Amino acid sequence: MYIHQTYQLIEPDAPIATYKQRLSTLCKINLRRANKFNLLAVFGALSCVQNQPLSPNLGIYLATEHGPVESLTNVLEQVTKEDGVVMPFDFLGINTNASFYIAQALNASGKNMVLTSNHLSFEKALQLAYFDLTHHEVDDVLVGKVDASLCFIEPKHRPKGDKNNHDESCWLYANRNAENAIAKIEKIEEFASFEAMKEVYGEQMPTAVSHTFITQDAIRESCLLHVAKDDDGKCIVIEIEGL
Amino acid sequence: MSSPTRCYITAHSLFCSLGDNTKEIISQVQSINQSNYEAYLQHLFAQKPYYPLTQNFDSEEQKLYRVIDHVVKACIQEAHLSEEEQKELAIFIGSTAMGISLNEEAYALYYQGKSDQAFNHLGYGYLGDYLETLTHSNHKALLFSTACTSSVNALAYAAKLIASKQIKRALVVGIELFNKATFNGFSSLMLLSKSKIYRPFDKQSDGIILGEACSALLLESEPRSAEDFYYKGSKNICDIYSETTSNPSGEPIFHTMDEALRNASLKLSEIDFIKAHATGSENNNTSEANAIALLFEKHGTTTPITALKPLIGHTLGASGTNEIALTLSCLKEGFIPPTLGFQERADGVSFTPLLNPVKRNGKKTNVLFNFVAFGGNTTSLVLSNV
Repeated sequence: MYIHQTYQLIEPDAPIATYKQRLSTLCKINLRRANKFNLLAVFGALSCVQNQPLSPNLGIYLATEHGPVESLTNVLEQVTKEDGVVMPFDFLGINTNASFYIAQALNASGKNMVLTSNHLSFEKALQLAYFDLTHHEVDDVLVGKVDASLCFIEPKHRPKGDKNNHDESCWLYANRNAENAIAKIEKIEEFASFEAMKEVYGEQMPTAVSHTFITQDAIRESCLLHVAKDDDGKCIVIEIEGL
Repeated sequence: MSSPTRCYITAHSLFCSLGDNTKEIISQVQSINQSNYEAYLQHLFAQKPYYPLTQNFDSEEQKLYRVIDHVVKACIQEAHLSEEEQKELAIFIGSTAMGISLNEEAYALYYQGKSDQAFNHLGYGYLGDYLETLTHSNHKALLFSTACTSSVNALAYAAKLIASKQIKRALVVGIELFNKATFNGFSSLMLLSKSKIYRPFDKQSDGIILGEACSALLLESEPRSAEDFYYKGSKNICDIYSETTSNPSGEPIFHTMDEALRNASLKLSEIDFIKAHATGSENNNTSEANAIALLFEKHGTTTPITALKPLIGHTLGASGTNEIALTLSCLKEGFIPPTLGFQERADGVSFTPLLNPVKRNGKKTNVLFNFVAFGGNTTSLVLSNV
């Protein structure tokens, strides 16, 4: 898997109008009624693949830890009231249709997945994309992690004390072609525990270990280990070679 | 890469409006027929037009966890999985609503001033954590949110990972429980049936009737019985026509089914029947019917069609594993389940689905399963025991 482009948006909480305005410069599809989560997703994905030729068989893999929480809150408010009427666009908004909007904006009719895996959503999505690419189920992949800021929810209402106060939309584009690639993903491995991971990598730790999203700056290192783990110690290691 | 192996469904369990165990479910399926179907629905829909589980629970939280426990333990028990084998289970979950009913419950209590916590959870990863703990799995669970194709996409990936020896065995769970957000949401989109009789592809078809159900499928690289079905191929695409409707021409759905056949190395003439998605919505009655017609035309032959939503309702993201579990139970009992409620073809429908159960008399079977989702996600999957 050869990474050609990455894009990272991690910014303080911004209103929906900000992303509508930014997105209007990138695509013309009708997103007038889209929620902030969807706008973040489409903006990040399109920013990643600007000027990048895409194959007809592009796979889109959207990872999210929390999904469209603002729409969820709107719907919970609506059903809790006496009449319980749910606004159609709020209902559609909680059904994680962001990957559809991305596919429509890119005219991509290939595989299309929305995925969650507690604390390891992006890594599991990338693992799936890596599988599809190496098994020729798709010809290129667009893999992203999207989560909107939880600022609008008081900390006491965040069940696990979730601290996400940023808007995030971080993407990478990859295919099987080494030409003009910026990095190569050598391997993606999953471990049942951090100790099990250290048994394998402990003595071979390369020059850089990244615990955050893969960015072009980080990838410039000759060999990068991206490591992510959940609260129980299960972890995923991604070996990346800078090119 | 090492040579592929097969992936078998070695156990399955279902908890739905027909019952919570295979014996009860099959008994119900065999007792409902075209003559008594409307009376059955009148009784079932006494409270609201919805296919409910056959048990009551004290709370939404109790319901969710008891239902999951039930189907997972039934599956593990059926296969007699050892503790070591359970640790090897990779967990895959597919659902539209996930645990939103728990958040509705929490929010209502908060709104009434009975609780100071508005949410039960944010994000659905906790469901994966729960299943990892329940099974003592060494793997990290993965949840699919692709609307009505969620659990079938989960199944397809699990099967391919086993076939390519990336994992040894997998548990695929589909879950969809009643919640106001989904019921009222579909109502606001005016997609629910007013006649309260489920009639996909029928002239009198007037919409969807939702249902709740949970199922679990155990996938392994070796069969546990000679009758076990195995994964033969699948295809997933995105129909970018519209967020809420399929392209009425049926072409994206046709391509999905056709590619699934190609990936399974099968011709349509080798398929014993197609389990259609058949939601009963006006759009699906057109788009999927057109897709089936295109498939028949391309392959120069036809094959029987059946639809299971009249039996258990539209269970959305869980419909994949739910309808596959139900189909496998019926096939193991020796018959193909019929399409209840159908009387006369809707305009543009060129086939009549199976109206009565069809005995298989021990014949080996190839089945094409079709699923179509909001957001254009379309998946077809082939299972076989040939």
